[in-house]
Amino acid sequence: MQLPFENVLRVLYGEVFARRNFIFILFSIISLSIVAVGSVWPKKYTSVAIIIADDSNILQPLMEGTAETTRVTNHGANAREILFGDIIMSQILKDAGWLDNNPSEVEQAQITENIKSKIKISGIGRDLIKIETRDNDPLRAYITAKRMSELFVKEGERSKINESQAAYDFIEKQVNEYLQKLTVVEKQLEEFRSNNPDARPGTDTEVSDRIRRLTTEIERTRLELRETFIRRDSLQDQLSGEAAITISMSREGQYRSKIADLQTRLETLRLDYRETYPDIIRLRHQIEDLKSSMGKEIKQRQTAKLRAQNEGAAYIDEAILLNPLYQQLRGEASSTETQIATLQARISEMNKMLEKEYERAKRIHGGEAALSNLTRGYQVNQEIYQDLLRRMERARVSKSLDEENQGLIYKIQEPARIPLIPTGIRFIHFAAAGIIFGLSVPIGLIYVMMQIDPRIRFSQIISSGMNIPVLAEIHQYSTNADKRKLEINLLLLAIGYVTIFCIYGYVGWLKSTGQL
Amino acid sequence: MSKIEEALNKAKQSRNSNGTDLGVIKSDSSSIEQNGLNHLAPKKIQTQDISTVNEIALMDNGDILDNKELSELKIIHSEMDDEKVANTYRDLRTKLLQKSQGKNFIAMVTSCVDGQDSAMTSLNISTAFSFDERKTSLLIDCNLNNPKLDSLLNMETDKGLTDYMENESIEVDTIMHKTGIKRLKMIPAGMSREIATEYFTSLRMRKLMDGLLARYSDRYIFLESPPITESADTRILAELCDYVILVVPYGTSTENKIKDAVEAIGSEKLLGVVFTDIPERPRFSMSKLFKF
Repeated sequence: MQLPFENVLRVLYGEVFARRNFIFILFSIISLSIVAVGSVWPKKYTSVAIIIADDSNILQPLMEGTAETTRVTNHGANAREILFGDIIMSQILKDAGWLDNNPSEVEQAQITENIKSKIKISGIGRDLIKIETRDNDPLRAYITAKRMSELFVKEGERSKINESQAAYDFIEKQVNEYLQKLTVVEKQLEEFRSNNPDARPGTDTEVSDRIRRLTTEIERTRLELRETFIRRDSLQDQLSGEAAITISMSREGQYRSKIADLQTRLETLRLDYRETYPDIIRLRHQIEDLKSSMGKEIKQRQTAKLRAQNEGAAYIDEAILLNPLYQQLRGEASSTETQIATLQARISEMNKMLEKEYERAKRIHGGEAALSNLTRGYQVNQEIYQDLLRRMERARVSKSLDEENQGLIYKIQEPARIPLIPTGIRFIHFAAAGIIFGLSVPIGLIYVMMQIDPRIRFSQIISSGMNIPVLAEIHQYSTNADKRKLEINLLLLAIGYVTIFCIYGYVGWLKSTGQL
Repeated sequence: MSKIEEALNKAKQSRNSNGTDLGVIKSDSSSIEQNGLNHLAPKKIQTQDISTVNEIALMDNGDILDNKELSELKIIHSEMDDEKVANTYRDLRTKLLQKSQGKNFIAMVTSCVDGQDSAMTSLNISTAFSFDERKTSLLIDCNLNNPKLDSLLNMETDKGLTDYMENESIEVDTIMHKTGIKRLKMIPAGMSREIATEYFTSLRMRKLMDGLLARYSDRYIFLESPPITESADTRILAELCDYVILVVPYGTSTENKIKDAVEAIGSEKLLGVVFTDIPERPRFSMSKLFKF
């Protein structure tokens, strides 16, 4: 059955009041024992130093992409690695005065472990490193925190410079290696070029072009040759059908033809006219004249012939002439012959050239593979070399950045201070815990008892839970004597509580003045 | 302590010495209540029942305990500092009267556990009935093995119920004792220690009860009995009475124990539970603090 909380509280109050003496006894035992523990609890002092890892200075945007500032992603973890190293820890041991008693090596190691457990290094956010040192002695806590922060900054700078120097050295080595490789490849390429002058890019097409041109030229020339043969043949045919000499019409002949012509005209005229007709007379006279001129001519020729026979000289009849057509054909035939000879010579020449080109093409193909191999290697090496060269320059700048304390900088943001107030669990906490536990434990016990105990404390369980009417609820009835007893009891309890608080105050005072 | 003892002794002495005085009411301490009730009582009743009231008023109450003495005995009275307890008993009285519809009755008060709670409750209920000057109440200690009422009332009695049962020559009047509380008489357990269960089943017992109930119509009889779960007597007694009131003291009885008791009583006679002995919760007020 679920009881209203108010009722539970009321009954709890009644129980607590009824068991006030039990509560007091438990309270005094618990609180005094807690205070006793608190009085001997050692004081702890904490000194804090904060280091800022500043990697976002003014240079960064300026050097963007050129220089790599040393980046540390987890400053806290990094710092722990550096600070808990032997170099810094031994320095701390010395500075904080742990070695004053000349401890042995083993003891030193133990002290170191002990110090490490008391130092808390944590990264706050992205950039801050917090060094917290705890110690019973405030001064020692302060010295430890102070020295740690100083040494960390120093060590951080050193390691940063080392890092960038190492990076630079590495890249430089790589650059040199590639430079050597590149030189070797370059030399090989040069040698190959000098051995294979044809091995140039594009030679291949040039050669094939040439071969094609030659082939066409040969074809064309052959065609022409054949044509020329045909022409020669036809010319010879014509030549055999033509007379070498023609007889030209002599002056004698000219006269005769003229006479015949005139005779014809005379005949025509005689048909119409009489012999006396003037024209016929003039024609007759003309014929006469012409006849006499012809006779003179014949006579002259015969005399010349005779004289030539007599003198033995050659006689050339004027009437005999060379045939001009024959002459022309003969000329053409001979020029055709010449042309044939020329064409044939050209063909053979061109064939020779073609063969040469073929040979050259063959040579070029072999060399090209070697060349592309060499060129490829050369290009790759060159690219890497140039990239490395660029990187080296950047590394050089980074190195000088770090050397001049630019880039990532560790600075002491908040220097360690001598702690004045102890931290951790202090006496006031024990006092508070004493009061809280001293009261809550017995009251809690009573509450638990109430919950566990099956005996009925709530009339509602009877009335609602068991359906039996509750006629009355009767509270305890105290006599005057009881009341007086109660008053005395309460007074004694009050004195008891005041006494306990006085003990609290006294122990607290002793603690604060350092007597405890 | 000495003061209280003194007061008690004084009360005892005066009661013993004045045991046989007739009808003289020492009205010094009780007059207020009487007057108050006279004022409050309706006039009709006053005129009708005037004879009864007179009769009761003339009843021999013996030496009356004053309020201080009552307080020491943890018996309620009308002028208590803390009226809550007295009012609770008054309410209980009203409930019983409502139940009986005004008729007188015999009610047994028993408990689930051993202890003084049922005796204390029966004493205070009967006292509450006696507040009303038109009613008288009679308390019978039926816890023969372990009678408690004598010590609660700080009395020394001679003859009681067992004596009456054993010796037929003893009259009822001789076993009825004055309690020092007005209108409340008591029959103690008695001196005889030869106790048998048969007493309660005997005809004489039944006759006694009937006689006591019939004699005065305004007499209310309460039987103080041992825990019902532990005594067969109590179950037999339950047969004799009209109502049973079960006393459950705070933080003593489990649900099963109460169930057993209720079963033993039987639902028709059980009037209900009185939840007693609830721890007092102090109410701190500024005035009290200053006084302190």
